[in-house]
Amino acid sequence: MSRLGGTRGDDRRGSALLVTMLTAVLVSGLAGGLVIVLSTEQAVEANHRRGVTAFYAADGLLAGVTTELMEVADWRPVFSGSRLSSFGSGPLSVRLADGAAVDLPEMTLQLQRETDAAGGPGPGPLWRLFAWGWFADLLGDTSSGRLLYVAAWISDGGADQDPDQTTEATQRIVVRATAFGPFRARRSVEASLGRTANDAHVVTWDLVY
Amino acid sequence: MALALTIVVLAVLLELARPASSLTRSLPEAANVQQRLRHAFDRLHTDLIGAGRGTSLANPGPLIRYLPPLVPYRLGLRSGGAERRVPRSDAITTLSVSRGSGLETTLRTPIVGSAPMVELDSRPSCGPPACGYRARDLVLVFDDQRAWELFRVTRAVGMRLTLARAHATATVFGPGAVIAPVELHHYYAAPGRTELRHYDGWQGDFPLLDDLVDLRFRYFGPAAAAGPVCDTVSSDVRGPLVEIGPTELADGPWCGPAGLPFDGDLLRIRAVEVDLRVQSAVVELRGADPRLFRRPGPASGRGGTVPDHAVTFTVAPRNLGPWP
Repeated sequence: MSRLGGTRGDDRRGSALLVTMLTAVLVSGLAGGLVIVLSTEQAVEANHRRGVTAFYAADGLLAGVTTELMEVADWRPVFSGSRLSSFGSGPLSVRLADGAAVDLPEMTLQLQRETDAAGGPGPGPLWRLFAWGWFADLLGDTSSGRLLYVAAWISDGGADQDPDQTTEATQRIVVRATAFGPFRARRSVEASLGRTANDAHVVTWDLVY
Repeated sequence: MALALTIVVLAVLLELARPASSLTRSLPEAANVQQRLRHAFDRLHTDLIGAGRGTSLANPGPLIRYLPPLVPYRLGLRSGGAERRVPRSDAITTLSVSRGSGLETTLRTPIVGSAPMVELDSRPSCGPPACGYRARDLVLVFDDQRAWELFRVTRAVGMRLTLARAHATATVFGPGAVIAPVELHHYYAAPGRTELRHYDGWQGDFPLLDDLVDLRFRYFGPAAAAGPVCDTVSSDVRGPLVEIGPTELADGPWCGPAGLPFDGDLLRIRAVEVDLRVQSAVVELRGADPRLFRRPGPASGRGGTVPDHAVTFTVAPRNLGPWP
């Protein structure tokens, strides 16, 4: 009865609950903040790492294709599409580990559209798919799983060739290599190769954004 | 009694929350330090690996045929100093032909004087106005005699450009010399400040990274070969890479045009090793141990500090060769 008989101002029932809840909110806020910081940092770091990995995969494919093209005495079958890279047996459409699709015929069209849109007067470069497949297959290493898909396109560089060149179509070739990874990781590099009467050589190497 | 118990429980909870409170300060700062380090890595890696990209239309080939695309000192309008520049271990300049502005072409008229007006040759995709060049573009002019100079476009009308020299040179370029848009990136540790800065070759000089405590570049290339250095097609020089020390980069033989000489050993560079070290911007999060903190702070104890973050990486610029 005495508990029921107290005045309203003396009733402290529930105050402990209030303090406990405030403390819980405080601790939860701190923990939640830390989780957000850590998960964001982890995501940023993973994104950066995937980008660097994709870059080196693209560069690796470019080096392989460049070496292969150097050994080809006549580039005309390459331009015509009758000769493909020895590394070209993979499927043209694949799904990456995150479920994203890589559709190489569509990407070839997209690359051509972008090049045509940026080009000047005269015929522009005509892109043709030359090498593609899982990067792990290129390395001959399937133990680490198929994470990166790579593709290389070649073109003749368009009409604006060096005026000193005599047979334009067989004197210069441009190779663009792209690596596709999960979670939109994508990097491209490009090299221009030239051929003289005596040898073939790399003219330029460039990152592509 | 209930209130006393509540206060005790609250005190215990707050004591337990103290480490979390410390983490809320140190973890975001650690993430910040890592992000700054990633940013610096990306900028340096991107510009170093693409250094030396040459022309692809006019006289196609890498820049190293004519000039060193990597030098351990500043180039550009604010380069100043002695004609024979002194290498710095905490500075580097990269040069590469740009894809973003005007088109490569050749000169129709010569370049003479400090503010020359020059007419450009037209090419299939290079016509008026001025092959796409605009005022404020930085351009490189070079010729078969291995003479070169950087200019800034001050005016572009029709197929004519008015240029301003970036260096105190008087090199004359005849018709047929190549003109190409160029990117210059100069990275350096600002003396007296903990900043990584970027200079663009003309007037742009901005901080890129705060709280830098160490920046060092080391250069590697094939061993020096006997015979002439300046006239060697340097991309053909092969062999295992050895370190090229700062003394070698400043003792000659001197190549290049008058007013812009460079040590011939710069043409041997094939790879660059970069050391970067970044510290926490919050001095209260830096401890006393100099092994972890290049610039120690007042923090004590094991937790709640953010040690310096360091990274070392090596870049072999693809345009410097050797190629297959």
